[in-house]
Order: sequence, then structure tokens, then C-alpha cells
Amino acid sequence: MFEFAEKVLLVTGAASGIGRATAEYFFKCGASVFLADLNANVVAELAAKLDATGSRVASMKYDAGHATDAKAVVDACVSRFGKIDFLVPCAGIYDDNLIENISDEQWLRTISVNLNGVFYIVRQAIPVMSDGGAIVNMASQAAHLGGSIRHGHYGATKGAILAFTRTLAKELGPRIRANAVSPGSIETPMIARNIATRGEEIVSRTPLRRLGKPEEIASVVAFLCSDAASFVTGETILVNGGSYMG
Amino acid sequence: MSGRRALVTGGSLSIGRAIVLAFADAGADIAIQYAGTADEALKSEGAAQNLSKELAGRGVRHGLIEADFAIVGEGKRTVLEAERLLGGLDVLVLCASVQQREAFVDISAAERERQTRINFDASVELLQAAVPGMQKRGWGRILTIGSINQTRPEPTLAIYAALKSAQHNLGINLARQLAPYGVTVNNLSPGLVATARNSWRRVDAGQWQTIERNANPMGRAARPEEMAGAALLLCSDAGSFITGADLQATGGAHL
Repeated sequence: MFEFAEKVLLVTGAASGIGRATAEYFFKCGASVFLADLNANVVAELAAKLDATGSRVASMKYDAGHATDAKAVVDACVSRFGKIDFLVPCAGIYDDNLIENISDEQWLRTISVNLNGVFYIVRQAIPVMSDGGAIVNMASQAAHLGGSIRHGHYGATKGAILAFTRTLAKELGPRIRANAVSPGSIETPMIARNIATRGEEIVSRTPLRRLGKPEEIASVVAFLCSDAASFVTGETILVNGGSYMG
Repeated sequence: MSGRRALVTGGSLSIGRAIVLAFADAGADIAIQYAGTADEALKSEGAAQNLSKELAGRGVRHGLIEADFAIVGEGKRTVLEAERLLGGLDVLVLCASVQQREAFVDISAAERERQTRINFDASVELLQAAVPGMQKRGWGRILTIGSINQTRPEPTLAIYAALKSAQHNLGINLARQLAPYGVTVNNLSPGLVATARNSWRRVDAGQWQTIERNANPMGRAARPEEMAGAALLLCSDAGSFITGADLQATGGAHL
């Protein structure tokens, strides 16, 4: 468990899956947490559940694909907690379709949320982030060797996130560290349909012979934000039970 | 890591020492391999004994194992000794290594053999001896300490760099083999770290500043303690779904 007392986390996609687990983990570690998600009701409920007093948790409706929402969320977080130490953009979408069948609308929607969304919020947060702060982006196993059938759009955005994160590390060092986590198959609502239809196959291809838990990503995100990772920047940590090894 | 029993090779100095102290803080029992002559050569005579005193003062269950990995069989003996001291072995950190800066064409056969013996062959011995117990118990953590030289090889460290890559390749192979037994295998690749081994580079402060400034986007060398957090992640439940990974702790030098 890491110590994040007096630290402030801004996490997007906080309503479910990895974003939610990250919010819960950081809250347990003592951080103040700002939850942003398209699903405003769910993050409001999570905020109330984590901290009924509201002193360390706040939430807001946020559409990752809109630069204006990124500005609103960053402004609100700074207004509420006075600063941003850690930024973890988790908002993402994951549709299934073969590349030849992906519509323009589907392609652009994925790019808009998974790539533009990260750019918008990172760009907005950089000037106000604390010195010694950390950004942790969510890539994916789909970005690495082998690709991911039916996820050409998703994989392309996650590949872009790897490159974007490396540039961030070069541009922001030494003031802010920037890293990524590439999760494998994690038990989240986002891939629930995959688990339902191909769960056994996924597990059999994973050397640890199980799916990951969202908390197992949250703990790595926490490591990357902590002083324990003070010399780690421009890195992507693969958390996938061995299903892809770099 | 309470209740976990760890062996850290090269544990008396620098990165190894920092990992030992971090594991101790996390509650592990620890066996520390060291080579007295190597520590003396780095002007750190008695480093292992001093560390032992510090651990004893903190009430940490631990033991020292002196072993020279240039000698065949010392890797295996170290594991057996660690298992005897601690009652088994759950965590193995391979940190011991030697480094010799030399132009590639000047590296003698004897020097190549020395580096191969200590930096690779001894690791194989240690792994062969430690793995069966971990498999039997259904839980294990293996961490190899690699180097930025795996991805950014320095011209004067050709053999060292190649052996670190070989070690990582072996690690990936074992990660696949051992995952079904609950044993993870990962590699940590440090960049420029201010260690006893490179203390000679800090004699000229101005030159060292230049080295630091140009080393990575963070413009500095790491302290050995900055490697310990990553080791802890990869050897504890916080990293329970990570295996076969190579974690770059380089200040961005690998980019």
C-alpha cells in the first residue's frame, strides 16, 4: 500500500473497471480523488460511498471526446482540491468489429475517446500539475505485437498512446513523470462480452491461467505515481499475466 | 512481504543493498549473498557485515552468505545455504554482476569467461537450484536485475550488455514455464544509478554533472534506493499479474 496523504488524483473513466479500482485504491492510500465519467450518476454514487463527508472525493460528468469537458474537469479539480498531483485518464471504449466492417462513425468515436480524450485532458492538466507529479496513461496489450482481432480501431488508439506517452516523458521531464500501463485481459465490464464468449480461450493463452483483477492494475498505477517510481519515466508496464512479453 | 523468504545476490552494496533494506521494511526474511573480495575492490570492505548489523538492529531475520560466483557450483551452494538459513525460498533477486569497461576487440578470453561465469552462468545455477522449491510450494517471485544496456548497449560494455540481454531472454522463457505454478519472473533495467561500482566516475564532479545531464530526460542519476520500489512491486502481491515484464527504471534513457 502506498502513502498518498495530501495528494490529489484526477481519474477519468472512474465509474467502472480500472478507473473505478484506481479511484478506490488511491482513496485508500489517503489521496483526494476527483472522479470524472460520462456516467455522472455512478461516479456521484461512488463519491458518496467512498467519502460521505465529501472532503476527499468529488465527481463530475465528463465526455472524454470534448476538449471543453477536459477544461471543465481540470478547472473543477483545481478549484475543489487546489492542485493536481496525479492524472490517470482511464476513459475508453472498446468495440468489436473487423477492420473492413468498421464504419467511419465507429472509427472516429474510438479515436475521439481513446486518443483525443487523452490528449485533451493531458494538455489541459500539464500547466497546473504539481512539480513532481505523474501521468499514467492506459495503453493495452492490443497495442503490442500480435494486435487484437476485431479491435483494429481500439488497438490503433492504444498504440498511439504508447508513442504519446514517450513524448510526454521527454517533454515533461524532470518536472512531471509520464508512464503507461498496458493491461492484458482484466475482469472489467468493458470486456465482459469477450469473457462470456471467449473466456476459456483467453485464460488458456495467459500463462498465469486467470484473468487479472482491476485492483492489480490500480496497484501498478499507484506504484508509477509514487516516490517508489521516482526514476521511472517513459516506461510502459505490461500487466497481463504473461500473455504478452516484450 | 511478511513471511516471505528472499535471497538477494550482490546484496551488500548499492542496488542490492537498497533492495535488501526495502524487503526488510516490508517484513521479509532475507539471505544476502556477497563477495568479500569484490566489496574490498570497491573500497567497501565490511559492507555485508555492516548491513547485517543494521538489519539485526531492526530485528530482521537474515543471514549472510559469502560466495564467489566466478567459481562453478557457488550459485547452487548459495541457494541451498539460503534455504537452510530461512527454511525455504520464496523470492530470488539476481543482482550480483561484474562490469569491465573495455574496447570490444581488447576483451581477453579470460575476462569474457569471468563475466560470463558471474553474470550469466551463476544465474543459471541459482535459478536451477531455486525453482523446484518455488514450483512445489506454488508461489514464487524471481527478479533479475538487468540494465539499460539491454536496449541501449554502451560500446565499452559489449559483453556485459550482451549477457544482460541473455539473462532477460532466459527470464522470459522461465516466465512462460513457471507461470502455471504461481511463480512470476521479471526483469528490472536500471539506467544511470550512482553506485559503488561507478564511484570513480564521480571523482571529477564537473564531469559527473555532464554525464548526469546527458543521461536521460530527468537529467540526473538515480540513487540506489530508487530501484528498490520497483523490486518491491515485482516481488510482492502489488505486482501479482505481472510476469515476463522488463521494467525500465532509467529516468527515460531507454526512449
